[in-house]
Amino acid sequence: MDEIERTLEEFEHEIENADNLEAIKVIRVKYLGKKGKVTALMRHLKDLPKEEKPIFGQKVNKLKNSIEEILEKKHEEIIFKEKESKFEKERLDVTLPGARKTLGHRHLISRVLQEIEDVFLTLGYEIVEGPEIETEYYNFDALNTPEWHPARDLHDTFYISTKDGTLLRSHTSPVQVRTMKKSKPPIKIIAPGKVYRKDYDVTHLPMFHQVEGLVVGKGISVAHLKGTLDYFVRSIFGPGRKTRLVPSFFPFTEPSFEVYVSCGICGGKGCKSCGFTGWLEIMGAGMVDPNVFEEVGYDPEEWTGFAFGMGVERIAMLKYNVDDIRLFPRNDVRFLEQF
Amino acid sequence: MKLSLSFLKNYIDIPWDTKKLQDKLIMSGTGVEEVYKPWKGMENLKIGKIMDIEPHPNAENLVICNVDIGDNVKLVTSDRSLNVGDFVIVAPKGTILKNNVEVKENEIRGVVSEGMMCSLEEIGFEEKSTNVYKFPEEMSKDLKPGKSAYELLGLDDTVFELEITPNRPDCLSHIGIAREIKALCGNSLKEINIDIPKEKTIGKDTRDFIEIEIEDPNACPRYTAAYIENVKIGPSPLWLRRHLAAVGIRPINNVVDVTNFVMMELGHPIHAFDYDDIKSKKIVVRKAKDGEKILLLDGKEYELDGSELLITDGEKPLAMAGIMGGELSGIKETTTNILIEVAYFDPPTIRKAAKKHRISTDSSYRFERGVDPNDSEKVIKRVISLILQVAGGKAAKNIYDVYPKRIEPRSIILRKKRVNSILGIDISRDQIETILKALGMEVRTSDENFEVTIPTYRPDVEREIDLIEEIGRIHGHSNVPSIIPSFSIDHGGRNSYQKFRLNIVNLLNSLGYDETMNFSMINPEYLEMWGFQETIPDQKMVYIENPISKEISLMRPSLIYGLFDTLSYNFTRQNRDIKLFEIGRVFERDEKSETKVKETEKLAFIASGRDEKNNYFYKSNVNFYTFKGDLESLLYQMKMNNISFKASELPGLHPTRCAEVFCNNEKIGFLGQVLPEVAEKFDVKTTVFITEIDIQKLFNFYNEIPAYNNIPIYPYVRRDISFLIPRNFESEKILNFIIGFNKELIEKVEIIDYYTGKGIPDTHFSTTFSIYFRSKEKTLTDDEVNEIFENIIDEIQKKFNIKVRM
Repeated sequence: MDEIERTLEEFEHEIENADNLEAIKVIRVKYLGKKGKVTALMRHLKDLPKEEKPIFGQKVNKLKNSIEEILEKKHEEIIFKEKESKFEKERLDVTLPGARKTLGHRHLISRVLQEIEDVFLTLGYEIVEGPEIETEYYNFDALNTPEWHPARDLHDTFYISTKDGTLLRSHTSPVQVRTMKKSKPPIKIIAPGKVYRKDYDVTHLPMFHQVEGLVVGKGISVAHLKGTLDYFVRSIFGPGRKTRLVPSFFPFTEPSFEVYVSCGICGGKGCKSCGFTGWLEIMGAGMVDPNVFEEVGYDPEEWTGFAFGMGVERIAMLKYNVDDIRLFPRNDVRFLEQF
Repeated sequence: MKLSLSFLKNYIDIPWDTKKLQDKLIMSGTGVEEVYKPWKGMENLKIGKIMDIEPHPNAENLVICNVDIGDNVKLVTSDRSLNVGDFVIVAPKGTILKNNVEVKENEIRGVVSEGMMCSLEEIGFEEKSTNVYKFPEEMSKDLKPGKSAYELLGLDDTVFELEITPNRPDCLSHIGIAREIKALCGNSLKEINIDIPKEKTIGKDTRDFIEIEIEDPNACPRYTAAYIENVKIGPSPLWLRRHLAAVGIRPINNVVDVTNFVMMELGHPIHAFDYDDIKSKKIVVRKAKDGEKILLLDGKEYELDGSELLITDGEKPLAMAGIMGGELSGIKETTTNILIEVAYFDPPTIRKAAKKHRISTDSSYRFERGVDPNDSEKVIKRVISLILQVAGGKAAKNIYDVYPKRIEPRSIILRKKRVNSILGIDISRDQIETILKALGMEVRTSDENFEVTIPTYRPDVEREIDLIEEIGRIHGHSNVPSIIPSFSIDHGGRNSYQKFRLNIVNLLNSLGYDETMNFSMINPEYLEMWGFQETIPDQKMVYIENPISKEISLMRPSLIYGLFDTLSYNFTRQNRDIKLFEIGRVFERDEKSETKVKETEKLAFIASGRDEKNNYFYKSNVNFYTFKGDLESLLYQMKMNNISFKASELPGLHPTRCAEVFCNNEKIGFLGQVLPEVAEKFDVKTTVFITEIDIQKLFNFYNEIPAYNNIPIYPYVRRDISFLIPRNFESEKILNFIIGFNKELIEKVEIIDYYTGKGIPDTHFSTTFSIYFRSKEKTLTDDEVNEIFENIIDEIQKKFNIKVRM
């Protein structure tokens, strides 16, 4: 074995045991540095007889190349291993839940109110609001419900002062009158808001929410009321749901209707949740009574219109299967955070 | 109103089954709340004949009856009044009697009873029975042991619980519903027997027995009376009891039962007086005198104010007209001669009195909605005929009808074009005419118009539009086309305030606050509990005059009460990390307002517990600054500039942790920590922060689209400095001073650290300010920045006597 082979063997042995970049650096210097073993062999070349020089030179060069190649390979290997172990040390459990930001929730009534508003906004309605404390005039008289009319019994009303004739509005309909008194037709509004009635049990709240609608134009008929409510019902409850107008009575509309939507559970066949009728009542509606138009100074021969009023709690209960109306004002966070 | 189907069939033949009838009624506007069979479970009731009675071997007060019901059954009873040969109603085991009592085969003191013998109470024919019912002698020829008592008594009935709208008093009777069915199917009405057999009359007229004087013909346009003598007051026959039981009217005695029966039949309330109690032999219909008193049939004495209409004997009141009879002139067991009253009263007059005295009777309910003024003759004759039949006696040969203010049927012009333009359908002239005639109206046509005469039992049909409604409901609305109105208005959508408010809602949700909706009515005790009653004067408070309960009797002057109540509710249910908000109106008296109340929309929010409950890297609890930060984040995100805070003391809030909030120097609200002793009153044992902001005021300063600013070109240079600041110093002054120091080159100042604790005297805070320098023209050098920075430090130390923290 000559010097060159010994050197390679020695190198291979050393590099085998090197396991970090520093060790490689030391080995590199030991073999390829200025005072390294390969460098020394190179220097030895000039001492050789002429005819031996080319062969020896070739051998040394080959040795140098081999060493460099091995060093390079080993270097890369170590870098790879070092990275790998660094990542391993940085390993995280990606299944651990994130540190979440707490986001708040819309109240279900507020959410449903907005859903309802949005349906009518797409139809170009305006949103109008009125006072929650009203006068008897706006709440009753102007709506064709004079003082001794039995229809006043339909609403058990909270009074602020019977002497002043001030009360908590029992419906959002006064907004109709206020709007018509303020502006000229045509009109297309909805009026959402809180209303109050003297009732408090499993199915009634003393304060609840309504959305009133009023459309006044030329040639407006029951067909327009029906079209609008069909659109509303399909938008809120889903395509395929049907509406039905059942004659009823409200003093400020003539004709008047109760509006029913086909039951979403049985599809209209009749089941427990619709009382085996296939239909669920969702609102009152009708054509604006000519007396109301006269009260606000519109000519009922020129203008006709329809109005409707729905209970938001009722819609929310139907849509989200809420079975106790008292959950709404209770504001239990375990309820609030479901929506 | 309860409608008995078998009762109804006396007036019209119904071409539909029960389900179809229900649909037809509903779709034409007669609400049907419930349909039920009142005697369900009693189908097996049998007629029994007592064959033998033997004593009970083990009980002295019981007997054993052997009863023939086709088979022989042994029935144990405590009724000792029974005799062999009596016909009784037997309920075999399995029968469900009134109030859901199930008859079982019972062993009673060692003897098995195979069913029971019924009293009238047990089948709902009377309120209180003391004995087993025995069929009267005169019926015995119809009685066969073992035959169905269910059939004999006519118990196979169906009752509709109807919901009649207040405009339709005509539907508050069986004949009224029969008329509706006539309009829907075309069948004609059956005749009602109003014959008074000649042999049952006396030679004299009613007016020979009574004088009638109507002092107020506006309140009482018609008063019709009939005299009947020698009646025998007693229980009603079974058929009459059955009818009343089906429609839910308590039987009293034969005469009163007839008046109730006819009211349910024809819709006109009727009153019967004991004629001998009318000492003056005179009826005077007049308004009450102020302070006058009357004892009514309910046993209560009422003090009158003069607005009520009375039936009097000229001096003493006999009845409150149309509402309730007087105790002293009512029909009693000893009554022999009676006076029947069928009157028409002005609806508002009756309603006012009924409302005022809080009496609602079947009679007042009908009169205040309006009965037919022109059916009095028919009604009174029907009553006479039935009383003679069930109570015997003889009637005066003529009734006495006083009708000073005749009410004529109305006539209305109806245009065909208008019918179609309102209903949105195309209905022919003939169809219209058919419908109107089926509704009992007289119709005269000319071209495309109709002149329609309205029967007086339809007070609701006053105008053309009312007739259009009638045509619509009978014709049906299922074929009306569905059209969305095509016109548009000047502007639609949410207005800028509504958008602003919705934006606040969304931002608060992003900040982690749940939206709540609390009652606008609060418990006035909360004011005292919060110590607010001194700052908000009571005369500013808006109380409900007729609240349901004290807990919801005051219109909230602030949102904080309801919101805190909700926090307390949740806190006491293990939910301790709470962030809630509400947007809603608060109320305050304001004489200048049309409604005498000013309504202001406010925002309030409240927080306690962990600031970020789902974040395990950030475990801090809500504190004054995180809470204030939430408010500022909201306001700054909405580009509300010029917000400032001023230390303040407000009741219910921590005196040194409370601030008033200003926008452009106008007060818009407050913010602070709830006083622990207040929180504890609501069982909240934690630190709670609350704020309330007047968002209407805030909106006045709101710019929907703020102007665009150029993005800076040159880099900023930052310098930090910490000061030792005394606790009672307002750091806002330092911030404002720095910002104002060099408006051109100082871009912003931030607080990057706030520290109390080790190394800092407890009278002080250490606050670190971070100042950003930037020029619009060039990159600033360190020297340029340092010069300004050092000047700022020097001047702050001198001006505010504050030291730099080394």
